[in-house]
Amino acid sequence: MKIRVIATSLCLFATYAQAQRLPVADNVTLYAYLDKVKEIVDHKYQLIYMRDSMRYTLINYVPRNDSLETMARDITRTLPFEVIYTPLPDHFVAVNFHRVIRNLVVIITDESGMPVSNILVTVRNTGDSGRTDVKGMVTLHPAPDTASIIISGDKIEDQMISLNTRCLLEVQVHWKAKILNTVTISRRASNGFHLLAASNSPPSVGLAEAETLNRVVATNIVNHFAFSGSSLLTGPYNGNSLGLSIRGRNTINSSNVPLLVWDNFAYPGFPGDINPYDISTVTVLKDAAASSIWGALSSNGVIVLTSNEGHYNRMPQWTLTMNTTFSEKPNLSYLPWMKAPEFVGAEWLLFQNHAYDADLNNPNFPLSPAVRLFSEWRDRGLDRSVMDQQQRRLQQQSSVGDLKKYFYQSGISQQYHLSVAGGNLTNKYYASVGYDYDPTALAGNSWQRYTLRGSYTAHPLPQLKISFTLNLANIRQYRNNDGTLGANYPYARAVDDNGNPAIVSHKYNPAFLDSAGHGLLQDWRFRPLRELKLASNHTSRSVLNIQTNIDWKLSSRFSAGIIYRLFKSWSNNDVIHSKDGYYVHDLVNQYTEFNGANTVYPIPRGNILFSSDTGVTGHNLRAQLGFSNRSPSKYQWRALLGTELTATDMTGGTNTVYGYDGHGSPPQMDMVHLYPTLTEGKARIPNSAEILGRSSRYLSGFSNLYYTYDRQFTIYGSFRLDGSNLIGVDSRRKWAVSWSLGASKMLDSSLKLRASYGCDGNLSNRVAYLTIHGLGNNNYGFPQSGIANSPDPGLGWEKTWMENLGIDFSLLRDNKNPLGRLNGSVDLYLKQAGNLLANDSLPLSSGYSFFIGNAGGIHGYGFDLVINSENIRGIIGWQSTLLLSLSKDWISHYPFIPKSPQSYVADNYPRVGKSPSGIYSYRWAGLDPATGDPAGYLNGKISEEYLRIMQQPEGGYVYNGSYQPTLFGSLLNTLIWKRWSLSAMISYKGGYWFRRSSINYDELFNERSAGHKDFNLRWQNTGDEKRTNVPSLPVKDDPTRDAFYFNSEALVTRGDHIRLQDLQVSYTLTAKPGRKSLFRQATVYFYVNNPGIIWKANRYGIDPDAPGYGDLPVPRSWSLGGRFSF
Amino acid sequence: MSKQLFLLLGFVLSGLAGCRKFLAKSPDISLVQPSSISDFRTLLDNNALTVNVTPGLGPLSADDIEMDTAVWNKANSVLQGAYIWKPSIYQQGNIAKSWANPYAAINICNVVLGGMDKLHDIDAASRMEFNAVYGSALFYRAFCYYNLEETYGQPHRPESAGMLPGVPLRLTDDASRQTPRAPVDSVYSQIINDLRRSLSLLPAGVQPYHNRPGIPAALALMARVCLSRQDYPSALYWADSCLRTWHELLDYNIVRGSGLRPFPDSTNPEILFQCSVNDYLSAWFGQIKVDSALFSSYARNDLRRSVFFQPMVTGGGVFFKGNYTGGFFLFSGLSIDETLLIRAECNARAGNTGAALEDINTLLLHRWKTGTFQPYTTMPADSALRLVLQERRKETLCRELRWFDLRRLNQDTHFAITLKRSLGNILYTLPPNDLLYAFQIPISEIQLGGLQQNPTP
Repeated sequence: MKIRVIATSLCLFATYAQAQRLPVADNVTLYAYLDKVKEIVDHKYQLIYMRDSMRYTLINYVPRNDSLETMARDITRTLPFEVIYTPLPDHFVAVNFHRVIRNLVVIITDESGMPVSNILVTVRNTGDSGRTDVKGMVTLHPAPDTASIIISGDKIEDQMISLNTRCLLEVQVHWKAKILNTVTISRRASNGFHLLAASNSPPSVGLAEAETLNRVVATNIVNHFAFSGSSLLTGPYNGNSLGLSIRGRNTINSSNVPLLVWDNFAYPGFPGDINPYDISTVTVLKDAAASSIWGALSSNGVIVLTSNEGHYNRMPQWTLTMNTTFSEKPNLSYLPWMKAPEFVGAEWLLFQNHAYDADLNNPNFPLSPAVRLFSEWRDRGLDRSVMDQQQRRLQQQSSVGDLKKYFYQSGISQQYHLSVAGGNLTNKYYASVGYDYDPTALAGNSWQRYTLRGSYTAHPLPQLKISFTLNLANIRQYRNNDGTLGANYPYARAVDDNGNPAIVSHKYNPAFLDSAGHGLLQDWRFRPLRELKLASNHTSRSVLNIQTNIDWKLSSRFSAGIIYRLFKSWSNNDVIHSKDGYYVHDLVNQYTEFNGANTVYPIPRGNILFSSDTGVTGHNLRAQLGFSNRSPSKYQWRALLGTELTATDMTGGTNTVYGYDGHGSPPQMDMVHLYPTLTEGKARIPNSAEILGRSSRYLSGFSNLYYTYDRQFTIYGSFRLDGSNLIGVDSRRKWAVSWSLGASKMLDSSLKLRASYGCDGNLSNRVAYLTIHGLGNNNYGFPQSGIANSPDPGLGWEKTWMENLGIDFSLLRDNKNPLGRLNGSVDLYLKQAGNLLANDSLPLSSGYSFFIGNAGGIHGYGFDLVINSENIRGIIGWQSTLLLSLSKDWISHYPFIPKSPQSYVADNYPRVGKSPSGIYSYRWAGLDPATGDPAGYLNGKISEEYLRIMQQPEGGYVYNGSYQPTLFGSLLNTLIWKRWSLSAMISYKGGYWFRRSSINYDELFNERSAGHKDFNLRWQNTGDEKRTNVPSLPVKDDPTRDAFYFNSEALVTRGDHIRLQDLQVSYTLTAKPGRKSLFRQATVYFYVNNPGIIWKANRYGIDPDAPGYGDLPVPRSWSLGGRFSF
Repeated sequence: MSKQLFLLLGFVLSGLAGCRKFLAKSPDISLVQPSSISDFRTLLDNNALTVNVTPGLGPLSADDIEMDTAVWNKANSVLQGAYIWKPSIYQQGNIAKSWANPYAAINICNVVLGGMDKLHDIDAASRMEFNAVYGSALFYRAFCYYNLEETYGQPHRPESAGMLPGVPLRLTDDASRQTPRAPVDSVYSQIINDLRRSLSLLPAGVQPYHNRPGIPAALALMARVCLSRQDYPSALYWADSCLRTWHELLDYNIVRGSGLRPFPDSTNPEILFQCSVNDYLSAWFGQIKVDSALFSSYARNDLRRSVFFQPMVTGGGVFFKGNYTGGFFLFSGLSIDETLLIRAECNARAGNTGAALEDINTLLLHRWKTGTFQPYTTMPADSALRLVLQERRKETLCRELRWFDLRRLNQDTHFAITLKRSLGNILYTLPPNDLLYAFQIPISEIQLGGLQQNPTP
């Protein structure tokens, strides 16, 4: 209400200011306007007009001067009126607005003012229609006063316009990105607050639309746009929940996840819960001008998802999308494990060196079958020939084969999505249902998702728009299989010779298990296959997202809007450990107390349930006022002022129920007192009971302003103020300011220059005051707590400043390709992130080991290049889209300077001048020719004193580079022939390094892993140091020697690679106009995901996207799918 | 018009006032700004992690234990280094918990004391709990400083305690302040001051939960501190005061000696205050031997032979299992038997041989098989002192005390001994009053805190 008052008063003020002159017409009927004119014009004019003939004639007009004639001529130019001046006596003049009948003329131009031909213009009420000619003009029969016209075409966005008796209209249409390219700028790019008038706006954004998004077959929306967003880097190196980064890294210790916005608001849920077929566009906001409107959440870049909506005035259109994907089994032979004969051989060598002697009687040492066999031979008099025979048997076994057969599967996943969209003059609607099923690569695991979306927009009054959106999703997931056999040797079997689940050595010494318990214990053997069959780990999650949107056009200049979003999710995870399974048996056994005949089992021999529940409730309320000037004028401006309130609360709890039988009340457990355990001293009965509660609160104010002069020159500015409950006791530091300024200039019709500068913010989860956190009960059953956070009254927000300079080009434009056969953009940017949370050491005698304050900084630069080109046009069409980004950053400030190479190499401390994602390693001096020991540098001299090398005050290490690709991009080529299209996406990542795995002798000595095939390449004799960097088998276990080798230069490997990301072939049938047909359009496609690596810099056969010891590359998958619209 | 504007302004202002509250919501319910007596109590009840844990380097270096070369080879650098008295034992990058844990506990005490000083209007009902928590914080701080001083500070020598460096004294929760090492006698006076204050606040009697101190614990600690200062008359006074309030001994005849954990914490009447040693040794439970000469000094009827020790599974020798913690961790708290031995030692030193022998008899009657122990009646003063010290060694082994005793007793040429270790063919020795009787302060601490390092030979 108050908003109305202000708006109205401003209107009145504007009118009074011009009181002496001709009034302004602001969406009023012509007669009402002429009534006003009559009151103020010279009395010599007698205005004559028939009110009835002007009932539907709404006009907007700003007088150019005080002349009545000019006004009359201007107004009637587009209206079916003639002005007839008749002289009357005494120099009086009669001015007669006379209604005439005129043809309806519509002129269509595009955003750059070029006429557009072959556009269908239809008069809704009469059905009269015609297509525009080369001048973009079409002439139709005279239309009724209340009529409206519909403008439609294949390549443009449909529009409906009320005529309000106009008979001459110039309409600007917006191109759909009909060309099959990925990153075009169109009017559909949104920053989550408003549409960015992209053709003449300064912010730098990248946009992918449905056609590009849906080329990819995947259940997660992130996979749909991961390779089609300019400056977007995807991969494990990003270390965040989305697996994405935009323009490098802008923080050291805080979250680096880009903000994901879904239909107006930040999305607090999982992106995997969104059905990708409900998304129409994805916009990447790159520079500060684009993202600073998101204030304190924008520093890592922003990704805006916009959902499908209905269309005004269109028959219901049904679309069915379905596909089936066949995924190959992961390639387990990729695992660098040692083969069984090699591994048993190594164990034999070590056994002879007495490496296992100290652990032969250690109950907590999971001795492998081979070592046990050797020990029986040596210590218990087992016959040598029996040992040899059993050893041969072990050498023939393979974990990989059994894992592949019993633990992995080739899955067939399915996706179904049905939607309907349509609307009439005053409302539009969209509804969809979706179902997805993915059995995943691990047997016993699965994932499924149901989604429902409904969206309805209505105009109950011409100036009022109300829309309501509902999104519902339900996700069910089983995670029963972790893909391992639970054994640390590569010859563990899942089944024995009779096909029954086999026993593996797990957690305890089999010799201890043989003797423990005098028959009073439960079966204490670990059988991985039986565990898999008994496992039950189920997650169910429901997500509700409701949005109500009210837009009220107060006048042609002012509008007000209120949006409210409610987000709710309920998630439940139940892990049931079966009473017949290992987990329960292990616990029951550990806590057994032998009291002679009266043996006590403190843990009941029933199922154990771990349950955790999480609920998230989010409220977002945004109120905004929009101002703009009337449309037809030399200058245009638009401003937005608003405020937003966000409250997100997460509550949750975890619980453990012993003796869970699905009903009834479980037994009461004493989880406070310590019980003696068989192998580990004293312990409590495990209890996961915990209650979680997190809240984030934001209060924000924002505004932005656009000013465009003559469509050539645009200024853009935005400002945002955020307050949050997360930062600071000091109220002055609670508020963060983000702002940006940008300008763009059309150099000519095909070249646009953009520049922007601004500041974004980033949050951390730190608080400024001293807090304590609960740590459960102490040994006496009392609640205990520790200091969670040392006080830092100076804590503030992290900030990123960015300067961006960009050129948009659109060359070789013609009628068939209005965007130009060669179009795209180049952006150069500089960034300075400051106030970053950084560690500084404190002496331990302060009670803290470190201090985190706003003292870090990162500087960086880079470019983003987007080129769309239509290479060949004709019977065969060939289009390409090239994305290429460079992103370099380095630490500019960091207070803590570690004193040893170890801190950089192993503890990943950043160094000023180096990348925040840097890899450091010990300088490598090769292998010792005499012993095969690895050597490094100590005080500049070759040394094998590993501990001293790691701890020397200066030198001894090298900086290799960034582990995050610094040059990356993709190339999409599309061939079109008749109804066929073939497209291939090639991705490139370069300028980065990873640490590859190798043999860890310490793990071998302690039976902690299945070894590494590099063992075969190890130094064995003098001279080997020339061909290998793999150290020799040491005489005695020396973890520091392994730690040195692992973190040495010798294992740092270049990650650069080019990958054929995917391939798609599609066939499209379109119904002929006028012919009866089942489908309006049907597309059938075949899609291959991850066909393979084309080139990689490393020669070790390592997929740089799966570089870790246990990592498996994403398996290839094949999909067949179709999209049918009716 | 103007009325409406004012209304709007009022609306906006009230919204701003409301937003203060809106933004004041705690971001995480598990984060609490400590503000009540019970909040401070939970900080002090953090026994397993910090407050009830002592540095634990002494037991590694003292002559209670013996390690096989094979076990030593697998041990971590702290255990390896401290065992053979290497000057530098910490690996860079690893937090030296023997130094860090006590200081973290001291910081907690400082936070508690500082926070509680700001609490006003304590009503009569909560005054007792307030005093108990406040007194506990003072007690813990004193206890931590004592253990730190005896580990890292120079040994207390009556003639030079004012000159030798002890450990840094931090008495407020201001983490940013640099604090140099205080002289040994300042550290001791701080400890005694804190203990004196705590005596007027702590609850009477041993607390049912042994992690919390009562007056007897403060008295026993006072006695131990004075003993370390070689202030024997005071030690006698405090030990006697303690034993007057609490003196029950556990008769080992009723202890089930065959178990691996013979002393449950909750039912052991001798414990005045429960505390355990940093877990350097607990992972090696059953694998580290007790010094064989020490073991052979126990008489055949001495029940401690079976209650304290268990034969190794292989290779001969025995390992120690008589922890008063009730678990695998070594005990480092305060107990009646130790206090009794302090009183006996002080009496013996003062020439009150009869009183000293009476205490020894009381103790051994509870340690020997019923009916087998012949009480001592009389002997010369110096033999009595030797007897008391011998019994002290046999009763309080593997408790962190032995190292502290060596620092004190070595100053007396009558009792000075050279420690010996052998690993493989190498023999290591530590002469009496060696510089290495004060452990090296972690290097990072020297660099960051600007501290003076202990000298090495």
